Amino acid sequence: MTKPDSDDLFSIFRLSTSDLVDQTLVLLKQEENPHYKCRDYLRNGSSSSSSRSRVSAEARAKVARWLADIVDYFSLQRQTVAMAMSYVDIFLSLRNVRAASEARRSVTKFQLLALVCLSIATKSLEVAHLDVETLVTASQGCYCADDIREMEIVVLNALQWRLCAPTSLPIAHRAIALLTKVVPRLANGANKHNSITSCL
Amino acid sequence: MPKADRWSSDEEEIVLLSLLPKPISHLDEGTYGVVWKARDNATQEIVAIKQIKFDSDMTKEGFPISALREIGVLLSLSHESIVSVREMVVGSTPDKVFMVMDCFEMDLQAAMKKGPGASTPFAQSEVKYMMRQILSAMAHVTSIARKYEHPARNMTQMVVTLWYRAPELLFSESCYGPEIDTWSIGCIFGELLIKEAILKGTGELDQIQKIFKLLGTPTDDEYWEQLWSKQGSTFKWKNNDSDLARTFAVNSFSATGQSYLSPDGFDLLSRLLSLNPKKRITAEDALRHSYFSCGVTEQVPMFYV
Repeated sequence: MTKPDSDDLFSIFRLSTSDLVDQTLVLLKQEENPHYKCRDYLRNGSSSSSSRSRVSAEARAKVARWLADIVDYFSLQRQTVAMAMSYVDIFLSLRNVRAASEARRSVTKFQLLALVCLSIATKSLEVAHLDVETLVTASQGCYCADDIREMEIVVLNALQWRLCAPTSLPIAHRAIALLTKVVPRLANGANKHNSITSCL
Repeated sequence: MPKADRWSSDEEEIVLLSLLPKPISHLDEGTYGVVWKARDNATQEIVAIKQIKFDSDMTKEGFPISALREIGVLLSLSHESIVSVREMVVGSTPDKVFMVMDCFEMDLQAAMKKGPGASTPFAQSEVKYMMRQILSAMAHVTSIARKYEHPARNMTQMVVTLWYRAPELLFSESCYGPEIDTWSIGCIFGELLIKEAILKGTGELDQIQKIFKLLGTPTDDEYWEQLWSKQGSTFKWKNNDSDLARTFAVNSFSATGQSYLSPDGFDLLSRLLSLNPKKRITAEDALRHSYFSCGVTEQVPMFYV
């Protein structure tokens, strides 16, 4: 993967150590923001079988790969997938939202959620956007345009429009840049940092 | 999720507020939306509710990108001089989206026109107080925007109310940064001094003419020469010298209807209203300007009391 990222890696590596530390702290602090709180919904301890999550780690990974395929096809950034998955996780963590418990129980709803989150992430991060028709095609007809539009407003409302969710990628980039400053020996290895972009 | 009946709004109490002075055209009304005053039935607090307006054809692609980004930015701002968004509420249908904000009694324009002592100019100390608030809020916005910078900001030129629009936007420059906002702040500075908008154009062309009349036509300016040659413009603008010093009297107590303006204040005004956006002062630098560190100390304006 050599696709350009939303973080311009070249400029990150040229930042001063104190700038890097500052930026990393800001990013880490973002994770503590209550609006972006996440719980481990994959292994929830709910006793009643009706409310147990059917979303498994495998299903989540599969959906992330699907989104990455869409993003690659349209030459968008992988960071957009990371952001979309962050929305998915925050949404599924919500306890008192009906659509969230539906998405935890039904694979169809879960996939729709992922697709809609990709659309929202694209709108907030990318210059180009995926139109609703494209999303319908990507779902191979599983969902119609109205399903997508309706789900979008539900997700936006549930996330309370907080769309600058934290993702691991920008933190990883800064961590590597920091390491190469502290341990110059690693600098050569840092040229391989692009491989990180492909691990989500 | 908040219920729609949490807020009650008395029909008669509905007040039309707008963040910037009155929308001029229908399009502007669309960008700002209408704001109601309402009571939060849970806390009894008075809040302002702004409906995000959009056309039905805009919702074909779901929630409009521009509104989505505007909300995202507003939610990430937190500054004592910026109105804070408390929460977002969706009404009965998806096209009814509301922003619940802190409510203020009046906006700046209402304060200028209706506040106590509306007929007399502001004291220099009051102008200074308001300018610092505006500039520090803008510096905060700029620092946040840098953090969430998007790869390309492909926006239209119709982004700022005409009277406050920077000259480069009027020449369809589509790529811009915080300089367009400091231009607007310069316009507001002038307006605070004379309690009237300083560049009241009737259309885009007239707006350009008014700008060049006040500040002089940019001859021998690298930026404008480049922009005009890039656009292949052959149009010749009437050559004017800057009228700024004559419009805003410095060190004068007798200037009718104008607040007292120190030489430092005039210098700041001319740097904010620099025709060349590359030479325009930034909000951060403006806060460090001698206007704020020298001369009379700031004072909370009368209408706050």
